[in-house]
Amino acid sequence: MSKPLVSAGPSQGGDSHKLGAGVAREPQPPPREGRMGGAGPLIREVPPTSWYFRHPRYLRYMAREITSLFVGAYCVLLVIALQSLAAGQASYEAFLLTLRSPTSIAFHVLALVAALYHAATWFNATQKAMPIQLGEEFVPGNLISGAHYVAWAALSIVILFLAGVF
Amino acid sequence: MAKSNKPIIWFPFAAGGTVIAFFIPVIVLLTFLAALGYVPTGLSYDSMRAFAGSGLGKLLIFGVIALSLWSSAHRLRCTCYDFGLRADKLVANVLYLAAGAGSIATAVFLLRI
Repeated sequence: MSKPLVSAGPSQGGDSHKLGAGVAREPQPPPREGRMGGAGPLIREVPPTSWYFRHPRYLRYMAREITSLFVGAYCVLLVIALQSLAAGQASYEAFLLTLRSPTSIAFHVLALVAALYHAATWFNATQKAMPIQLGEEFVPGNLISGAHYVAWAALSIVILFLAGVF
Repeated sequence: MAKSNKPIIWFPFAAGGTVIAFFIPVIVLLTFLAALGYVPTGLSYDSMRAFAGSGLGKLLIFGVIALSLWSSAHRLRCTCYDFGLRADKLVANVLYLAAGAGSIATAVFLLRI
């Protein structure tokens, strides 16, 4: 016989008579504040720090979330680059040299993967975020995402060309 | 009508997400080349000074950095919440203030060029 769980929550007093002495009950999660314990609506407990291990879909979502950390850090690097550019030639060239450290190279690899993952998932989402209707029909979603990929590739090639890479 | 600050947060977030997707990968690639010791001619001091010295260049640089910073701040706020850091007000204030400070710094540096 399992003992009725007596929670330390604020609604403890109100619950004790409902559970009843000596009545076999499965242990219940402690009732939340402002709810009527077991008598209220079902409250599914979600572990706040490990919920995303429950499903691969959640893991992919969190992987995308983490890309923001690298993109944000890279933006800070861009601000520092701009600061050294404003400070003059010597300072800018010193900045270019610090880029060559192993830490910087490792960071660039991570930032590149994060930026590419962000871009791909962003373009994949465009067909859901902004569906286009022509008359009765919707434009096929893959056409919308595909157009973004084509524009992305073209823009990237133009920027690489203008930067003198080829 | 209920007032909401969501449009103010959401517009730069969505614009920033688009800017990041289109521009950041290729910019990372450029500085990655520099990190590997091959500095593209466009990243040389004279070219960058000329680019950041023009009105259009300033506008592009500010637009890309400020929008990307804001969007990243907003997404990092959500990331903190999803990883179980539930002090949302504090996290939001710190991140949005950092994004604002970064944007102001970007504008100041651009005006010095």
